[in-house]
Amino acid sequence: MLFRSWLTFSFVIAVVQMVLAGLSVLQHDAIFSDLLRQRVSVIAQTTATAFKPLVDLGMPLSMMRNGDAVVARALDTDPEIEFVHAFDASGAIVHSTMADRPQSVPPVVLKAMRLATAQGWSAETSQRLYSGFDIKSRSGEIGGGVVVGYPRDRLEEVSQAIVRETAWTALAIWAVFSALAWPVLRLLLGAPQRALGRLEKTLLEPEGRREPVPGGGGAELSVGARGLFGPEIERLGRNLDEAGQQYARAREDLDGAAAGRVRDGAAGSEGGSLVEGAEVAVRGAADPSRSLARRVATRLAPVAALFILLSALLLGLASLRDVNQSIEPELAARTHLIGSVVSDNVQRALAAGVPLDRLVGAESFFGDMLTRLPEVAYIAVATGRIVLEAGERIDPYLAPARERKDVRSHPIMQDGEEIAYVVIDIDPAIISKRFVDVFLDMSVVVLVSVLIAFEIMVLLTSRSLTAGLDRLQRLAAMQAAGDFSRRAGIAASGSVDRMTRLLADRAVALNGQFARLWSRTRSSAGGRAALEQVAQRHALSSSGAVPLRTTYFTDLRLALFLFAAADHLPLVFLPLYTRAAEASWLPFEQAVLLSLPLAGYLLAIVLVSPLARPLAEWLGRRPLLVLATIPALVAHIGLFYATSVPEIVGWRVLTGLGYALVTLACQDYVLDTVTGRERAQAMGLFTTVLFAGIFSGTALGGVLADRLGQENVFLLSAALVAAAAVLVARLVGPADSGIERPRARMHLPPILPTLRSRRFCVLLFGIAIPNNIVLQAFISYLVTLILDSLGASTADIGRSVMLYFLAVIVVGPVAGRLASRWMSMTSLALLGATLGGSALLMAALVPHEVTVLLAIMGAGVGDAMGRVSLVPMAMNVAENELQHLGPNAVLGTLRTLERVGSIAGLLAVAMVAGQFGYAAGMATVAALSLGGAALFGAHLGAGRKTSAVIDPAR
Amino acid sequence: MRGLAQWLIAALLVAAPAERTFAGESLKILGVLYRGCEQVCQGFAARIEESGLDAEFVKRDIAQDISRLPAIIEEARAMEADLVLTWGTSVTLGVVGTLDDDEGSGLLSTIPVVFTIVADPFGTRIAEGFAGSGRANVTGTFNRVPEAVYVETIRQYDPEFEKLGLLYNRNEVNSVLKFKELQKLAPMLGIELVALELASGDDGAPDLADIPRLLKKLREQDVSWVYLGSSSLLRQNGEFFTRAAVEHSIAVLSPYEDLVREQNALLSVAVRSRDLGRLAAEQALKVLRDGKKPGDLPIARATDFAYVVNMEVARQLGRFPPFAFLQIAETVKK
Repeated sequence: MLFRSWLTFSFVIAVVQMVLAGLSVLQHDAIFSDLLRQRVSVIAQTTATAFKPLVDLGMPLSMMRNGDAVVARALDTDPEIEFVHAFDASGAIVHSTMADRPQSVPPVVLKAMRLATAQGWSAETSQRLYSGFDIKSRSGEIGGGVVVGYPRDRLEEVSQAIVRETAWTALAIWAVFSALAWPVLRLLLGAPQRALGRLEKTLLEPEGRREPVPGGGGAELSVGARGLFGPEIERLGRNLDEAGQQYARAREDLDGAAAGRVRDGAAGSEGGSLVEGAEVAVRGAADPSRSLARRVATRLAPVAALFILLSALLLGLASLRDVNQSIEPELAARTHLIGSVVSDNVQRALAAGVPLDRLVGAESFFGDMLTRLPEVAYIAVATGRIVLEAGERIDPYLAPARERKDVRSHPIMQDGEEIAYVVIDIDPAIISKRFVDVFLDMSVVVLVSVLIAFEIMVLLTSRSLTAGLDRLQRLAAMQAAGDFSRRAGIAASGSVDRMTRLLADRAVALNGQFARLWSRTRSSAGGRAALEQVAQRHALSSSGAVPLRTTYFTDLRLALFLFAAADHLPLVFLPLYTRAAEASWLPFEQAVLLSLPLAGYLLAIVLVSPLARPLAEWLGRRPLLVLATIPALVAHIGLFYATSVPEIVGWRVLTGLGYALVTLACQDYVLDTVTGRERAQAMGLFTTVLFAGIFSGTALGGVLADRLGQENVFLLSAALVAAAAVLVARLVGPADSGIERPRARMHLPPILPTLRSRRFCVLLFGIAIPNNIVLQAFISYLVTLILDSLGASTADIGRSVMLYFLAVIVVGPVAGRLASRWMSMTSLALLGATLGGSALLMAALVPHEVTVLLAIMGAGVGDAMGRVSLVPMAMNVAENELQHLGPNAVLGTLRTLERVGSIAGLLAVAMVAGQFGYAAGMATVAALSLGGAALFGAHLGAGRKTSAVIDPAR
Repeated sequence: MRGLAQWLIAALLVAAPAERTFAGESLKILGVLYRGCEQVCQGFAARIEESGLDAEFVKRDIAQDISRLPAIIEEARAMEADLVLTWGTSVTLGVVGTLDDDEGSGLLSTIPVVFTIVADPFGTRIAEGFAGSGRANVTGTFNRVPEAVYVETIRQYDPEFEKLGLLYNRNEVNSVLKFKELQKLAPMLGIELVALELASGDDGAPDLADIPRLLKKLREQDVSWVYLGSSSLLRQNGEFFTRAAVEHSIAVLSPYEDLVREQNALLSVAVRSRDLGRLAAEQALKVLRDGKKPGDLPIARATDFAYVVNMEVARQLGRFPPFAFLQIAETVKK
């Protein structure tokens, strides 16, 4: 037990280190590549600016005679640059630094330019990085662009250094934590292991020489059992002892029956029945909360969590330090480059013969530059006094040094003499924001790695330790109660398994003996009657003992987590992936087109949901779970190959179908594995795991798309779905609880009857639908497009969208407590809707990266409040005026209608966004949310007078 | 039917030179020039020579006297020229006429003609459009940017610019055309055009001595920029004109780059003259070497335009180019 637990710990720490190390490197590469591209974009930008006057005149770029000389200037600023091309709007290269000028820019560049909403854009291939800038005329017309090709060598070099650094750190942390785990586990599990060993010894001893079993038969408790799990081991000991006695009794009874004697059934089995080979699964132990397995799991979980968290935090901190060290020179290089560009520009003007104090329009030129380089706060040219300047000065203590060893950082030379120098003040707030961003990025990967590792830990602990204990306990408890109907086929590799096997062997032996006697007494009716009595007493069967089936949600957790993560990996870049696909022949506006994959996905969920339960009954829950992963798997592979919007929509519909079936089948499976009073807890656990998966998928999807390419993320999703399917197929047993449930038929939700209820409608249109529209139209659709238009990378978008799910996860339980103590559910819902709507409105009025982030968080907090309060309020309506329909039907209808509402809302918002821009789309979502809140509030106000409110507290 | 016959004749004629080359006889190119073999003509000659084509370039300068053209047309026919290069609008109109002229007009309608330095070949109906001249034996080059570009260029240089001055003479078709064009464009471009006509001397020709007076008059009307283009006369007297302009604190913008590089115009947006000559030679090579029919060739557009600023003039005028402008402009310090 101890060794296996240690192996599990060691393995999981290795997993967390590997996952985190991998993600850290990816994250670092994403950040570094972004910075590198941004630096190169300074060159693209300044070169493009040179061509602007030409485009302003409406002249083609090709008409500029010294165009080649203009693009070649870039090579002076950074000799590592591979090439610079100036190209016209069709992509034909008109000026280039390359001797054999290619005809046109590579498709990847044109695609990046076409898809970019900002003037600057970038792309990355396996060979090089591209940074480009549109050449736009005053009227906004794109006359062409400038693209700079930069080799990946620098990125590769820095990345390899980070890989080495991270790998060694991870290895060291793993070694230390793995070594630490041994004494900790020994402290935790040593005593119970010894006690179990003693139990085994006692159990395997011949009866005559048997020591008193700990806790068994009134004997003294052993010292070991007084430890951490004393009472549970004591109970197990008693059960084992009792099982032994029952076994002796059963043998006696069988011997007696063979000899024609029948004992009175006073001490017989309780409820044991003759089972003819049917496979009946056994649900949780008689009292799961007191079982040893549960206690061990409860003890191990926090220790495991601590180990995972600490080891992840250590590597996270080390990676953070490495990443910061790695990006610092890059940030400095960008500042230096800007300084060089300014100094070159001024030198060029001076070389043309303009005196320094007669530079016309330089301040507005640098002013324009400042608007495009947010980190530069101030540019000036000084000779001792400031000759020209643009922007606001930064506190000299915070500004970077202008001199290094008495040499100006950016001197302006004329005829070999320094006549002036450039002053560049970098805004320290922007730079520290960059480091804060890095910190947040690293926090996300730490969090996701911890979540993944924890899920693996739970599964492994269950499989290697607690499931075995649980099996032993169950068999012991059954046999102690005289029930020998179950056996367990396991390899005996530890004391727990050996004891289990002994018990199983006993059951097999008894059933075998019974079968032999049964066939021998075929002709004797009296003999058979006596045997039947014995069989009933000890639950024996002529067809032998049946396998003990155990079903645990833990078997399913990792699969559910992986599936949810796989489903949500593409969430943040799906609109961008769709935008890049072929759709020229479709009669839709682009904004609407981009919403179609999401709408199709939701529609599939709406349509498939009523089918899930009948299908599960027809196929069985486990087969349905495995089968439902197939459409998801196929859909993700299809999305990988998809090149047109209809294909993407089609595959997304299939994904929605798979998602609906898998999550609903999982939910039912969970409900089947637990008894009534544990259900709420199990459902809570189910939701937590589902959300953890969604959160991880959303958070990682962005950075993975950034590093691996968007289409490859679909392959990763497919691989995760396949892994989930394998886990289900191999680990999950058929869940048949034996709990009688009414046979499910496909019912259409009672839409009309529910809509007749005014309170239901208020709930639906006031809270449920607006909340869902916020999720689908804002979080899953608009946020990506808005942040993309503000120049954010997919990694940034992923991190931002993740905040929504984080807010839901964190605020949900707090809001629940808030509602139970200080405020009513209705007030909570109203507050949530108002909060979310207001945050959105603010972002719509002032569209900026920060306001959008606040809107995402506001939406998350608002949604969490809405989620917590919605079900109790709906239940309240269901139990009162819609009592005749039943709570399940009312809740089901609410879910269906809110999804239908969100599809309609999504399409409407997409149309508004297409016509009037993303800010208007956001304003529409805000209006719907605030409108819903107003409707709900008005009803509340009216209800106070008539006491017809929805609050379940009333 | 007539069209077909024309094409057949043209095709035969176009095919003929190739045969002659094989026979070892040099091809004959006749250059009809307006004012001697300047840079365009030199660029043309250089490119033909570089190409290795066995051709003789015969130059005929009309010295601005278009009455000499009929004789040159006759000469072209007599010498069985394989191609004729025409320099300028007046010469081209005199040699090939317009799309509306019929065959009986005595103009060249069979010998391939390449025109160059024609400010507006489409407005003058020498050619139909960029896709082709619409005439079997004619092709050419186009070397101008729209007039609006010149106005915008001045605006980029001088955001305060409001009034554009122009001197024109009635004796030149082009000059009058340009005046009318700018007159129409000015309100659309948001500027005021102050156009003054050069007075004629006793011989009926424009009086150059009138230039300083007119420039002074422009200055009095707050004109700080004057346009010098589409006038062979003024171009020919560029040195005098541009010096006078500087003396009156007026900046000259011109589509003729040599006026900036060699004289005293402040700013030009133009193709290098030699490059334009080379472009015309490329058109000629397509006909003579590659056997293409002139009517099938698109009108070749000059690329490689540049802003050229005379920094010495800028200094004298106290009007240095703006910073952004300096990042792309070519500067000369004459």
